[in-house]
Amino acid sequence: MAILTEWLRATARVRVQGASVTRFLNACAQQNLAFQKPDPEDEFSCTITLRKRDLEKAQTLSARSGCTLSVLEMRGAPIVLRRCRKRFVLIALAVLSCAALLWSSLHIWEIDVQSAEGVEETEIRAALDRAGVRIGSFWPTFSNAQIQCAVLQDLPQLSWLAVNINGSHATVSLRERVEVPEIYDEKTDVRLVASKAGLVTKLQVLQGRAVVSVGQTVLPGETLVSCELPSSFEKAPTRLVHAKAQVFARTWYNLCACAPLERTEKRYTGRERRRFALEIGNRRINLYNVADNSRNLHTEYDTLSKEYRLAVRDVFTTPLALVAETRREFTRQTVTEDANAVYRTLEAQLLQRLQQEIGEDGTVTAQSFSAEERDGCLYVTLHAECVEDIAREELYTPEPTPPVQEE
Amino acid sequence: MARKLSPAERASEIFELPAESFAGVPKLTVTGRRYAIVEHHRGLSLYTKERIEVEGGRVRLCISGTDLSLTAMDREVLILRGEILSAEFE
Repeated sequence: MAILTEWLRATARVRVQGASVTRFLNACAQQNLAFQKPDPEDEFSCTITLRKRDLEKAQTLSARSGCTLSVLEMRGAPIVLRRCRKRFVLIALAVLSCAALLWSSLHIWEIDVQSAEGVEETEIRAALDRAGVRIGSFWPTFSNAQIQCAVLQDLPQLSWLAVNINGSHATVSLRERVEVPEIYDEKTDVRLVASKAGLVTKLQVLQGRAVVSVGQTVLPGETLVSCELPSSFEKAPTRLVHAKAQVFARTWYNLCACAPLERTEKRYTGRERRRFALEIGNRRINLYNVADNSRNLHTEYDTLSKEYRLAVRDVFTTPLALVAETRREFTRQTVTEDANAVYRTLEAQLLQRLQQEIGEDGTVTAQSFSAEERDGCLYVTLHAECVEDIAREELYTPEPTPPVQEE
Repeated sequence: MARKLSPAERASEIFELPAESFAGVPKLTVTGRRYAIVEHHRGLSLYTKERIEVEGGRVRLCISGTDLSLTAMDREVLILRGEILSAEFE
């Protein structure tokens, strides 16, 4: 702060020479003439810093003290301004730069979107664009409530969204909607049906009436436990309940997976090319020959882009950015895979798939694999016998009663 | 030989009054080895990086050291900085 205030005031670094420099310093102190950084060079000379407005008074005092005063340097903002007084173009450029910086700071030049699992970033950016939050938009007119309303209508997967502006940098924070878990409702009439074909081995009915018995074979969709409970009284109506049971059955699976024994692999040739482009807001000016892209159609490239924006982090951001692209040339080569390794990978995949099919309660009682090579691919088949709970809930819909025929 | 006291200094001793304000003698405050304040001075008589002499009416204060510099000075107070080795009264 002291340096800034000193710079804002015009100061002069002067050299005092004479038989009695101390007499001059004493005179300055007596006249309340503030001087700074006195640096004695020897007994007869000393350099000091004075305010520019005190210079005339100091010259009088130096003459009275028998010293000579010579100005070494003039510093400070007023001096700089005086020097620039006739440099109209420089002043105009400075004013224009300030105006451009002010204009730039009122627009959005960078948008950072917080990642979400259920929604793609491009979807969020598109929704924000429709809501008016885009590169180059005037942020003082933003209303967080309006943006939130518009984006949440577009993306029902989100539950909350906020746009925070820092300079010309917008940060979009969001929260995803949490799905409401299915609530077990005791009052709904639900029956249990078979989700898979199998041979029933165990029945544990907690609520409802078992329709099948142990040792019976069932098909998918067949009712296992009914929700209709007939009353022991003759004239009483049938009671409906939420059926609850565990129905274990032997099930059989034939799962197949295949993978090619040959695959193409990228091989970098080692040739790299760098090219640059200039971005001004949404406009891109390529600083390279665009026709180069189509020069060799058989050559493929991996392109790595890096953006260097003209900005001071957390202070201001400008629409100007230099994009440096590194293109690494590669060719595709066919590689033959080890058949045993492919077999082991497919085996592991099939076992994982089987575990997903039978769930946590299910157990594999017997399993075997068979493999065959056909059309350059390896086919692996898993034959498995399992015991699992095959009951699945289904909403009860009463069967329409046939109309009574009058005799 | 002891210096003869001025009437004002003698009066300040008798009446136990602060000599620097009553008798106008300089007051030296040294903080550590790098900072000194001289109050009620009568001006500088020598100013070099190794030695600064301050007039104090009937006494002269000589401060010796290395890299001595004058931080601020007005008609009452004088502030010094630097590696102070000794302070003597002449």
